[in-house]
Amino acid sequence: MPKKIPNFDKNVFINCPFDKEYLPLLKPLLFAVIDCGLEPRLASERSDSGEERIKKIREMIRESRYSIHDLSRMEPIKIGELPRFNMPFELGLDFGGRYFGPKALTRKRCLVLEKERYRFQKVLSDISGSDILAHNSDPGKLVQNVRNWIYDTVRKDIRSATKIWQRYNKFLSSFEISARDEGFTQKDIDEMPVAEFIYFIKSWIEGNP
Amino acid sequence: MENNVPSDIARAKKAIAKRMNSRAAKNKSIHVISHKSKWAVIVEGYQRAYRICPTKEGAVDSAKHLVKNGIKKEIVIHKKDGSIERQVKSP
Repeated sequence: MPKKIPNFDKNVFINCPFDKEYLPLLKPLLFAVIDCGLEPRLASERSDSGEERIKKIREMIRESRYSIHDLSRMEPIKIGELPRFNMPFELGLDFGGRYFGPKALTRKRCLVLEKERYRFQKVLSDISGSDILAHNSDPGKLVQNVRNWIYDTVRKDIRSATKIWQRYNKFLSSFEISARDEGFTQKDIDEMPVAEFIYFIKSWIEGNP
Repeated sequence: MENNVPSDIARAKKAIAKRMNSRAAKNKSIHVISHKSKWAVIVEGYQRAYRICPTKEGAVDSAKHLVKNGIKKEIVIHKKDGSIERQVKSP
């Protein structure tokens, strides 16, 4: 009998960039997932430098029934830089788990996010036919995409996208003002580790169910 | 003294969480937030947006009017990504 994975049906593996430029999209993405009652799992949630990154990612993919892959940064950030291939690689691992992994993983579902509609087809046509939604780098649109996908795929008893976006704005202002009152600088807030930011999202949602 | 650092961080985190929820419970703000390609005026404590305006300036004016009439004490004007652009408090 295979070992049951705790929280498998709630875990959402998030495959996206963790750079400064992506933070305005990552933060509302995390909020929307948690506000819909799910648990985000990210490679950056544990910062043990001794831990092999690919091992950590493999473990998260195996433990998550759902996944969200944002391929919107399949391009160099600056002229002269090379594009990042981590996201498409991890998407491939996730797809592979579904087809070649244990039986439980055949129930996996994923959402692929992109910046522009149909752009991925030029470079990754193998995934045509999957749930791929464009957010145009607009955080509100990203929240709408994630919420609607959760509604279609995971659960129906969730708030509207507009309500989640409003709650995110309220949370962020409460958080930023409270953190500043406690002596945090804007840099402390902007460069806060993702795991710490998730702690504050959960605390706020607990107080504002 | 170094041993106190983790507990100080834990204390600060708890204090922020407490402050956040006490702020939210007070329902004292009006928020100007992006709403698709428009701007919405959201009054804390009310379910629906008070007004949807085509421009941010229009939404801020509408929020200022509410503060002037004593509906709430402060306006939080957000950037398009949801973070704070500035706070406006009633005099």
